[in-house]
Amino acid sequence: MELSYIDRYSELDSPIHKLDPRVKTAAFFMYILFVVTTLPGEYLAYALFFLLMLFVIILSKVSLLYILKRSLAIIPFVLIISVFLPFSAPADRLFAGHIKVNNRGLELFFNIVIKAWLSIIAVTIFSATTAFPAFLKGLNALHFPKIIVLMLSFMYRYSFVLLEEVTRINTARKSRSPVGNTVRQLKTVGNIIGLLFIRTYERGERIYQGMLSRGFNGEINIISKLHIGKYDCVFLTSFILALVIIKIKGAL
Amino acid sequence: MNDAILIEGVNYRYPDGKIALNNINIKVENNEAVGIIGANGSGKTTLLLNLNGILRGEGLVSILGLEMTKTNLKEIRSKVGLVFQNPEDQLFCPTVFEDVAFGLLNQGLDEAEVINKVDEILSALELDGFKETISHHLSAGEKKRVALATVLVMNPEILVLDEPTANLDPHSRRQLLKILQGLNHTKIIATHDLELVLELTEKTILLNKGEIKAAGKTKDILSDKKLMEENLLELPLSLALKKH
Amino acid sequence: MHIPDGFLDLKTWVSTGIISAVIIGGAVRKVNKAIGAEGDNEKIIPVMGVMGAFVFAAQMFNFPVAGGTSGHFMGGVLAALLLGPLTGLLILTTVLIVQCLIFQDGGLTALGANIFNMGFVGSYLGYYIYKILAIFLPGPKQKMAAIFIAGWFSIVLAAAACALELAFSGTVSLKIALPAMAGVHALIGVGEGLITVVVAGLIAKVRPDLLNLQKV
Repeated sequence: MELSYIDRYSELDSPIHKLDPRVKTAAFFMYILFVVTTLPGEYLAYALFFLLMLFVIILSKVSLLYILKRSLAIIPFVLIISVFLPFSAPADRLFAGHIKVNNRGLELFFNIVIKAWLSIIAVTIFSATTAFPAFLKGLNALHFPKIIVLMLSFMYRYSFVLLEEVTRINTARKSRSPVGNTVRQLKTVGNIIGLLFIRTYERGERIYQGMLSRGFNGEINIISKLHIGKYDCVFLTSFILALVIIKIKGAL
Repeated sequence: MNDAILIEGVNYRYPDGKIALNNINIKVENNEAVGIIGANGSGKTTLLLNLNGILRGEGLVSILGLEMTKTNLKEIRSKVGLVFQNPEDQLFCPTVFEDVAFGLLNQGLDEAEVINKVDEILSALELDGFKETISHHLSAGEKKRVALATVLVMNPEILVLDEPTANLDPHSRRQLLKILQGLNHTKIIATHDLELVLELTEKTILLNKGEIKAAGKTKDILSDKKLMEENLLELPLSLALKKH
Repeated sequence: MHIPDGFLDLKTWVSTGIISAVIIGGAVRKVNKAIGAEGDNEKIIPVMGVMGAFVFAAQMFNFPVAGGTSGHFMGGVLAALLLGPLTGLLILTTVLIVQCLIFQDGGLTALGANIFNMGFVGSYLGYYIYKILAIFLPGPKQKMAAIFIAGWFSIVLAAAACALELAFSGTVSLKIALPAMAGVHALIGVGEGLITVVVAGLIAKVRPDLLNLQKV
């Protein structure tokens, strides 16, 4: 369970890290919006979108290799869907000699994969350059429901703690019993998850006691000291301008 | 002047009916430091949770002259600072600043004041520069000190500590001990770390199965070999060595 | 089952996004009301918080499915069973947000669809499937059967919803995708159902009181 890459690059100092989390969220959301609404076959637009993000990556000082590696996360879903493809529409040509595929369907699929890949790169660079606590402050400042912000905050804080607990339980189990058949494995997983639930609930109770001790009365106040400055405005404007230009150019 | 803590005839049962505290009587004067020792399951933590009304049994609990009632709860909790055994339970926010600020925001302080106070306490506990640190990046010793900061920042009069030195390496333990020595709050310290009790407290209460088996001067209790062993404890090494 | 960006067309991701936003908005209002009610209900806040982390951690468990593939636990029915359907929905919602942003599992524009599939269908609806089944299966052993079936349905229905959205977007053809997605997930659903039963059984044995927590 690899969690070490979370926050790995979030403490760097770069023009991208410096952005207000709200501005950054808006910019990256716009980017993905532009990417997914690109019409099939606008390959010039795809190339320019990629270059734009490449420019952002270079600015951010995050390792390009890291971003590319993380972007492979879409592969499983792509593979699943691609299995359906050859059967999706009446075949009008042979692929790889013997599989019948629909030409237009194949091109459509190729376009989807490009969109998915460009978007995942954008999300990766966003999360690499934004410390999660800063993102939460942004959500709070945007008046996102507080209960969801709090749940995200707890999740961020305790996922690490719980995964350490899982690892400990797992090690203890492995040292006692070897792996069995599928049903046995499912039973073991179920027991670990059950144990984890009980321990987590008890932890929740202790956290509650700690909160009460510090005067908790049902209301959690969050200080979101955020400030959108001139730099944020300039970045967002030029970024969106670039997106619009790509959109127009790409359609030509 | 009122006693810091006055407990008379307190009984507490767990929800399942098992007796956790049986006829507890304690009197702690202002600025006194009291150790609470006892084997696992002797009721130490349950007793501590009765001190600020997280748990409430039968009998009288009075803090600085305030009787433990629903109306006094808020005031009592602002006077009793409770530091839990596991800092992972106390530090539930993503960053150090938010955790230390939590209690102050509950007190209704304005933002500027909160930021000032957080800075002050972090620097007093040698945690300068940790303000924006993400909690899970802290070491065990740092977590413990931040947990202490979350409580001290609220300026309590009584400090209640559950196993303050658990899981600390010798250096972090010494650092924490020095900080605690420098605080002149009324202190209640529940721990297995008997050397800590010797260094920090004048009085000690020995619990076994929810009952007070002995109470008195720390040195007298901790050097009573028979008493300690009867209650599943042993002499602290420093005292044991002195005898030979 | 996490749909990435680009696989849904504009009408599909916008409409599922709006539907999910409305559902979440309603859930937030009801949960807030429950927290504000008399009693020590503020406890819901830290408990929901750590339970989100719990489901997140539980989803890290992979289990083998026939044919060398593996599925992972979703926990939708489990969360709803223990803490209530709206809490289950919100927990799955936050898990999906974190998976999308930190793990790039599921796309940003597809977030609404993914929340609908796993949060609403998988957790909220799964809970009511259990509730209905429990009417006909009242005994303690039969209840476990109801939990198993609800767990299985939660996965299969969520997968079917996913296939529908993909077909609606023109990404795949419905008559291929629906049976294929439902078929694969019929196997994964067995794992989900069994794990949910084992977890419920363990809690019933060790801390039966936790099966009767306040449910929102």
